[in-house]
Amino acid sequence: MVEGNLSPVGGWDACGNRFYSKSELYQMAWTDVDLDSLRVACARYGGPIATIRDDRKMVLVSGGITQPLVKIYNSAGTQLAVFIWDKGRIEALGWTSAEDLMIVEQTGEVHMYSMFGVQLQRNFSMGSEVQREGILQCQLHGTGLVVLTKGLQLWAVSGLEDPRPHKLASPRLKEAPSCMAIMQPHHTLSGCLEVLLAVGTNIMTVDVDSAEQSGTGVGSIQQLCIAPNGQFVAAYTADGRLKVWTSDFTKALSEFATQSEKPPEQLEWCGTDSVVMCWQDILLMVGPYGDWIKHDLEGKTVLVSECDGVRLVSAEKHELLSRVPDSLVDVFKIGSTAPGALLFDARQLFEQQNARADEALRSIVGQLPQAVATCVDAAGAEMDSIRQAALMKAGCYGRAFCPVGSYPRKRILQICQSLRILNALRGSDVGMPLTLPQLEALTPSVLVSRLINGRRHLLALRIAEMLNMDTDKVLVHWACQKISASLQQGDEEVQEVVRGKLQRYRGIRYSLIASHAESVGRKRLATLLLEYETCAADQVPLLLSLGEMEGALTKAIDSGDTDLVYLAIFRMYRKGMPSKSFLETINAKPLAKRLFISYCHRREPELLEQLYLGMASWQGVGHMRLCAALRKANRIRKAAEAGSSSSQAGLISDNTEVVQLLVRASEQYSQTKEHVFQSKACAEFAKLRTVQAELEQEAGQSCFLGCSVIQTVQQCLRLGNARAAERVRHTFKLSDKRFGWVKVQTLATLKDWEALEALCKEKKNVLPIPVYIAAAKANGAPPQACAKLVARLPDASRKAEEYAALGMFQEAAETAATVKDSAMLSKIQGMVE
Amino acid sequence: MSTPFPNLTSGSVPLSRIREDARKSLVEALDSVRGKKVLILDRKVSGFLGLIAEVPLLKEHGVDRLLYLSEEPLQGIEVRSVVYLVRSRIENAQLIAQQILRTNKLGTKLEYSVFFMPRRTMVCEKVFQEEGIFADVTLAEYPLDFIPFDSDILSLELDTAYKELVLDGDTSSLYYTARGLMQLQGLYGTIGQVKGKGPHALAVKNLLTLMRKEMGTKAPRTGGGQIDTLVLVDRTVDPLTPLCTQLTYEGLVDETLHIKNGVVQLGAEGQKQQKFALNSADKVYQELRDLSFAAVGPKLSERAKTLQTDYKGSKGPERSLAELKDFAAQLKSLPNITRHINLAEAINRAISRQNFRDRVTVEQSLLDGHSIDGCCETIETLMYQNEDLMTVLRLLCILSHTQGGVPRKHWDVLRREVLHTYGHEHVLTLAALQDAGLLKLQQGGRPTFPVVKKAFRLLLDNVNDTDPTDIAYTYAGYAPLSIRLVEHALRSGSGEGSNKDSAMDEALKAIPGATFDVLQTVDEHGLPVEQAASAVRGLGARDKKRRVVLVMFIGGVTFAEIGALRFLSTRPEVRSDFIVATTKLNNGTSMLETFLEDVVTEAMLSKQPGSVLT
Repeated sequence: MVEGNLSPVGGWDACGNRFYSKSELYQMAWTDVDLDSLRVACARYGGPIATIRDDRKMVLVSGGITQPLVKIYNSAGTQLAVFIWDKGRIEALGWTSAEDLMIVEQTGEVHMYSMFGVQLQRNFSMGSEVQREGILQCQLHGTGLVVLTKGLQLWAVSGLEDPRPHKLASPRLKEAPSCMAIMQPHHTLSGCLEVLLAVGTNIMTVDVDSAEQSGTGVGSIQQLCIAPNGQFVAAYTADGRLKVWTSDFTKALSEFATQSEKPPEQLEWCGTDSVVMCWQDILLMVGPYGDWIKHDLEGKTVLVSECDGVRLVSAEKHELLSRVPDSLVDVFKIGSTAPGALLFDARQLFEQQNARADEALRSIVGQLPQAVATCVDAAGAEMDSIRQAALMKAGCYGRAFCPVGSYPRKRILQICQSLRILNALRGSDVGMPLTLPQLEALTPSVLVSRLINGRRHLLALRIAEMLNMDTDKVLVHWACQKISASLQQGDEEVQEVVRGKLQRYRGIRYSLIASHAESVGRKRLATLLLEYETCAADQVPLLLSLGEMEGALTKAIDSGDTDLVYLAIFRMYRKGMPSKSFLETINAKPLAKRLFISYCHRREPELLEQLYLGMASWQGVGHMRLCAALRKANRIRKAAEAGSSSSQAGLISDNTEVVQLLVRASEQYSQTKEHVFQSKACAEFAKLRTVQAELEQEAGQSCFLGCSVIQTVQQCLRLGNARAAERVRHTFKLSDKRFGWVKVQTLATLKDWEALEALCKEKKNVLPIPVYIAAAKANGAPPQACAKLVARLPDASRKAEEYAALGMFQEAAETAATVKDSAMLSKIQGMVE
Repeated sequence: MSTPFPNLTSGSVPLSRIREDARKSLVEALDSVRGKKVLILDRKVSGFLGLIAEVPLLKEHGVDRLLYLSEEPLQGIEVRSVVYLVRSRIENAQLIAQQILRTNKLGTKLEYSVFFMPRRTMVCEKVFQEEGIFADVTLAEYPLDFIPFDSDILSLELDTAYKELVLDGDTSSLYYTARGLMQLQGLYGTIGQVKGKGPHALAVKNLLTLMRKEMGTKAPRTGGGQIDTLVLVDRTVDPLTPLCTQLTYEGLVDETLHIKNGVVQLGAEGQKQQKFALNSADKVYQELRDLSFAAVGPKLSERAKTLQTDYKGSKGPERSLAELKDFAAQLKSLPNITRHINLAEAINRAISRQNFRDRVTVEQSLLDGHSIDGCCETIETLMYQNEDLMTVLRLLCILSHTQGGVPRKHWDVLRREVLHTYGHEHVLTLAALQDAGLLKLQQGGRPTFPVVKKAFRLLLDNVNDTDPTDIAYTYAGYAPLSIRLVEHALRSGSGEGSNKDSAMDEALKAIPGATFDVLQTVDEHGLPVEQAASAVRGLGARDKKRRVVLVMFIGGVTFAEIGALRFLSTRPEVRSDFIVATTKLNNGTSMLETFLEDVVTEAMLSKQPGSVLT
């Protein structure tokens, strides 16, 4: 019960049990275009079209300009750019996946242009070997190209960001192949680009490492074409047959005899399941099961393969030939009783306020979710906006009666969004005739990139906003374009325009815009824009390259990121800045100064000493010299430990150096009165080193250098050199008490209990007896030795206690008794029990 | 031996995600280098890497050998790839450069990748450029900021942070702290309220605001975060606490045996050292760790006794199977109990030394502020007895801090004695402590410590060790100012302020650095802003439920302080659960050790007892 005007069925052609439709996308806006005399390159995914006079064909030249023109149009034939081709003869032209135009000269020079005819700075050459041998065939793909030289060698470029021609494995051919095709890296098992060559009746697969036969005896092939999904290969053979294999040639899938004497002018895939061939005025489409459809052509037509169909570009119009999706067939096929069709009918009846709507709905009540899915999917597949609306309405109508949760609402929203995008893109002003499967394959983010490349910033922004995508990229790109386009305007003016538009958006990376401004030579504008950047990590490097050293340093310090401060300091130090003003700048910023000092302390001590001298920081210089002295002293010690028998004389001269450094450190410290202590200490240290060196010479062994004053005394005592100990004590003015302590400690650690007792008995003993006892105990003296010391304790109670602690209860009790310390007595008694 | 990982899911916020992320990015880093490889770690990284991944995991991802970073050339390496995983420090970059240059000289060609932690820096790249190896290495980063040490402890492992802040004026650690806190907020949601005191705390807070603003709409969402409050504790506000001797069980283990990366080594001299992990996975330890050490002995024997009586009781045939099962489960904790008894014994030996007692006595009287001259003499005598230099320096710094400087008459005597006993190279050490303000000469003017002490009730008499009612038990009568500040911060703004609090506010003014209390919110455009908490009324009154509070210690935290926080969380009036974050888990000794110059540390090696001729 479909209203006649709504049904698309009239345009469908049956091919076996499938339907194909040929729908018009645009009436071409271009005029006086004669495709017969032009080379034409159409970008995939409804991208731009480039044309240039085909210099392989004879044309009547009239008018002034003899050099050919490259003209670029959008898919609707609206001219985007035109420029004169003033370079050599063209071997091939085509579009990259970023929609840049790539033109290959016969010499192997490759030129890149934007879709607006602006030459890009990414020209490259295929190399001298290609130039010398000359190009036999050249094929382009989205991210590179492959060249077959007349010397039958293959050269390829993969990746246009950093184009480096590399030679593929030599196929070692004797004759030129009849045709070739490229398997893109994402379609191959190895993940590398592969090239198929038809040689004789065989197929060779060539990649970087190897050249192998992959299909033998497949026939003499005149044309090869790989399916958009990379899984199948279609070939036209010399005997007029169309054959399809899997792309590894292990399995032949179909064969169709065209009975044509001439090979087709073009061979392309229509989606991934049928193949289209075109002759002068005939278009033949062959389906997967040998079914076919024939169309008559009016004039020369260019075929552009897409993932779900093939586009036909002729001088008059732009059409899409594609398989009708099942959902549309379900709804619109004449006499269809599929749930989707019935739901669509129901909605139509409902709109006519016909009570049978309810009846129709009831008949599919169990299959409603399925019916809704069919209608919504059909809407997505439909090109005509009136039918889209009708189908969406039917879907929504059905969903209202669906059980809760049986059909996701989100899906309806998604299709609506996609349709809005697709309809906006298809408008002839934009001229991007995408279908839903193509949009999905392209992905929204790539679409947005393409739109901004095509200067459709507003549309890109709207799409990004609708899909909750990042809008920064769009806005930043716009701002950069704006700056490039307003070279005549003043810096403030441009800044205001840019800021005015971007103000309401947050988190814009102004540093990128500023960096663009810098790259087009507008440093001041860059500085102005950089003020808006909130992220210091982006701001500082750019400020530095703009020469705003102090500004960069300030920003770096404000950011709290010390690494940025270092970045600024190093840049200032190494480049540009004279050292005097560098020091002044650094001096004014405490953090920068201290970080620089901290760095120099570890990496460049000499520089730091200079720096301190420059700043008149005498204690700083003293510090550096003291460190230098210690480093030297440590080296001496290491050498001594390693047993490298440096001569005694060598050691002395090394030590003299240490002493000198210490004296110099002392001098520096003495210049400020706050550092008198340090100055004296360094002087004393120098004296100590000298004394120690003498002692070592005397003792004939290196056991003094590196010791402290006290340890030096200890070493003397251990070596039994009391006189030397006394001398050291005298030199460093150790008090009697301190000296006494060293002796006690030394004897105790030597476990020389007798000597300890003797020391204790000495008349001039200045230390209390408990010191001796504690030292003896701490070093594990036997009880008898301790007892002798305890016996000398003047205080009886204390003595009793110590005896008890040693387990000598008898003596303890006796001692306690002498002073009648009953508390102690009972305590001792308790311990015994 | 392998040590059990701490259980990270049992805390108030599951920290396991951090470890999972860290493991994942470690594996990614390793996998990014093809084939078998040698993994070279700097010693700091190797210490805590054990908390992230175990050796079998590294092996699984192609690590053939593990080496420590040194400048010695690589020899006898069978694989082609070398992976460095090091902190981004100049010293490390220098060592790597030296090692690569020397290895190249031997004619060995290897492929080098360097992963800098937590990020690659200009400075390190510059070292590589200057040494001419920049082109030979692949640079990458291992973005690990916070490392989970236990179910409630996170550490940035920036061991020199405090020294860099107070001595070098290098604020890198503040940046890394803010970065780490942003990362936490990314995981657990924006923290609503930020409070703190002190210049570095303020700087971190300002950085947080700056970073949130830089992120704009991509900043972590506000509202509904798992952490309610962030308290920033600035170590420069309270340098005193770590200098004092910790007297909780865990604190004393750390003071006497040193807990390194959650592991302690125990064993008599000459015997094989036993390593074991100390964390919340050990239930016995969890019960004991924060007790005053005085209460640990009774608790341990009580546990042992219950086990014994249970065992006797369960002998009867009338015991049910379920009861037996219970008992068997309890028996499992027996090895743990034995271990802790051994540990407690070792501590007991250490703390019954006369020197240790003297040290604690000096600390107490310095805090009290009486018999200063006597204290100075005791410190001198400790030096005569060759007490550990760090202990002496700790006491000197306590003296200086509590008395507003070292009294003039002792100033030169004490300093001279340090040089004479421990070596003249310590001129540098003393100068560093002086420059850092930790050690100074008493000048005129009133010292601030007594004022703060009074206002914050830092000194309490009659502390009950077994059933404490105040955090002061952690230092035997001294309540750490840092934790008092946390208490104060949690109370203030909740409408429960009292006169006591206003006295505290007054005292706070005597300590340098701002006091702040702000909310991290968004403006009407959804952009991050900071708002003074005082501008929002009725803030504290509305929620009576328990809060999750993240306490970030900038410049390190001691185990006793963590213990004090855990104790606070058990107090009904506090109504908070704490997560502790820090730049480093440390104590006074490890804190002061960072002030030693490298040349000094090296010089000190020659003074080790072993190398002195006997």
